[in-house]
Amino acid sequence: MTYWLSVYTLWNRELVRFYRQPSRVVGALGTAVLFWGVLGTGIGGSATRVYFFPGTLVMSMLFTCIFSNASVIEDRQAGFLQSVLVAPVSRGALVMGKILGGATLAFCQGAVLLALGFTVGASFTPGGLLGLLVSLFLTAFVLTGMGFWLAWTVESSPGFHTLMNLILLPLWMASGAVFSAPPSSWLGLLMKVNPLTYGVAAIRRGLFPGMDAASLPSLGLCWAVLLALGLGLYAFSAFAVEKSKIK
Amino acid sequence: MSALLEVENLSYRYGDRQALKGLSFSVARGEIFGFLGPNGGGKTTTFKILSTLFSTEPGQVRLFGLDLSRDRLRIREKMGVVFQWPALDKKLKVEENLWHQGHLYGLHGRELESRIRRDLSRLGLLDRAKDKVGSLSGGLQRRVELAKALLNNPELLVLDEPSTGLDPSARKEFWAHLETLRREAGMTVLVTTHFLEEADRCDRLLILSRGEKVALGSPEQLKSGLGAEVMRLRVKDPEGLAPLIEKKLGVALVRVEDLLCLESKEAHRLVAPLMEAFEGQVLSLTLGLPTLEDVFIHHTGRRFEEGGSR
Repeated sequence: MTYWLSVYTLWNRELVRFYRQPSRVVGALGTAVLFWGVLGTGIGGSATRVYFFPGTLVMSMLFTCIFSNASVIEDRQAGFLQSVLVAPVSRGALVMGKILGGATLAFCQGAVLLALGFTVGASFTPGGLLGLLVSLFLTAFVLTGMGFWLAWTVESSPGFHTLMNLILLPLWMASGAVFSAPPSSWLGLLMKVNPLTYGVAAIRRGLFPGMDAASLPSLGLCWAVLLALGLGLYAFSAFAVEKSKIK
Repeated sequence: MSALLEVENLSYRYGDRQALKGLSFSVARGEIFGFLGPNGGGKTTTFKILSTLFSTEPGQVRLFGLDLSRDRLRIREKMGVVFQWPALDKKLKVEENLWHQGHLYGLHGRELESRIRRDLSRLGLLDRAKDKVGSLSGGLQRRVELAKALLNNPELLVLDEPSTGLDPSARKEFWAHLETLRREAGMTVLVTTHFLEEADRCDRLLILSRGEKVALGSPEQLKSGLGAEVMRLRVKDPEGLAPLIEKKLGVALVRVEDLLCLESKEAHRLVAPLMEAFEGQVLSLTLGLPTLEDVFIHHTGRRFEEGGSR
C-alpha cells in the first residue's frame, strides 16, 4: 500500500539523516546527562537525582523531537519535502512518516538513557520494562507530534525555536519532571491538564514502581491520554498540511 | 495533436496583490512550452498551480483531461516536477534520493532499482550513484533532480526556473537532456524561465508581465511580428531629442525608460543620416533582428530586466 510505503520511506530518511550527523547524537544525550547530574547534585544530592531521572529522560527526548522538526520548515520551502508534496501521497502519510521518524529517534535515545536508571536504584521486571518502553514511545510520539504541528504552522526557523521555548519547556517544567505540587493549587491543576504530566508519570511508574504511586495518575489513564493526544496531533497536523500553501 | 493542458481564466491573489489575471492557454502533447517573464511576472505562481500546490480557483485547469481541482492525486501520478530550489536531501546519496522518490510513487524492489539505474544512466550519473548529493556541483545536482522527476515515467515534466544558479555550459547541457527526453520519450515539458536564450529553445512561449498574458506563440512567430529590424538608441536627453529625431527622419520612436526604439524594415538606412544630424548626442546605437527582449518591449513598453520586477 502506497500509504505505508511512503510512511516507511520518510521514517527511514529521518533515521539515516540522524546517524549521519553524529553531533546530534552527542548533543541530545550529553545535554540530558549533564542536566541531570549537575542540577540533581547541586540542588539536593541523590534523592533529587532519583526524582529528576524520569523528567531528564523526557527532556532529552524533547530536545531530539525539537531538532527533528526544526528541519521541516526549510525542508518544505526549499528541500526534499517539496517533492513529497507533489507526489501522489496522502498528507496523512507525510505526517505519519515524519512523526514516526522523530519519535523513533527520541524513543531510542530514551531507551539508551534507561540504563542510567540502574545507578539510581531503578528496578523493573521484563513485563515492567515492556510497559516502560510503551510509555517512552507514546511520550516520544506526542512530543514529536507537537513539534511537527508547531513547525508546520510557524513559517520561520527562529519563530519555531521561540515558540518551542515558550510552549514546550514550560510544559515540561510543569509536568512533574522537576517538582510536584499539591493537587488543589493552581499549579497542581495546571499539571493535571498538562499532557506531558502523563508521560512523565507513566515513566516514573515504570522506573520506580511503588514510589509516589498514590499521587500519580494510573498507568492506564496515562496511556489513554497519551494515545488520544498522539492521534489528535496526527489528525491536526495532517489537516494543517492539507490546508497549507507552500510559499 | 491533442491538448494535454487546458487553462481557462486562471487568476491568483496573495492577499491584496493580484499575481495572475485571467490567464488562458493550452499546451499540446509533446511540446516544450515556456513561461517567460521578469521576476514578479507570475511565472512561479503559474508553476505552483500547475504542479498542484496552489488552488486553481477561480478558473479551470484540465490536465490529461482531468480536473486539477478534483483529481490531484491522479494528476500527480502522471507528472514529474523540478523545483527552483533543489528538492534533494543533501545528506543522502544520489541513489538514496531516488529510492525515496520511487517509494512515494508506489515503486519498490527490482522495478524501482532498474528504473533508478535507467534514469541515472540516461543523465550520465551512474558513476555518482553512491556520492552524497551535497558533494556534487550545482549542475550535477540539477541532473539528479531531473532523474528523480523521471522515475515515475511522467507524461509531463513541470520545471520552475531549472537553470537558476547554473553556469552557461551546465545550462546548455541541461537543456540538451530536456530535448532528448522530449524526442525519445515524447514527454511534454512546461518550463518557467527568465533567461531569453532559454526561452528561444521552447516550441512555444507565453510571455507574462505583471500577472497577465502579454503574448503567446513560437519564438519565431513572436519575433517576426515586429518590424524586420530593430534599432535602439541611447541618447543624452531622450525626452527632448525624441521629437526632433522623429521629425528629421520621419519615423515613430517608442521610448522605453532610457532607450529610444524603432521597429522598421528599413532601419539600417537611417543610421548614417541619424548620426550626422545628431552628432555628439547619440551615446550608442544598436541595430539588429528582433530578439525576445524586443518582443517584450514591444508588448509592454517596459524593458525586460527592470520592467516587471517588483
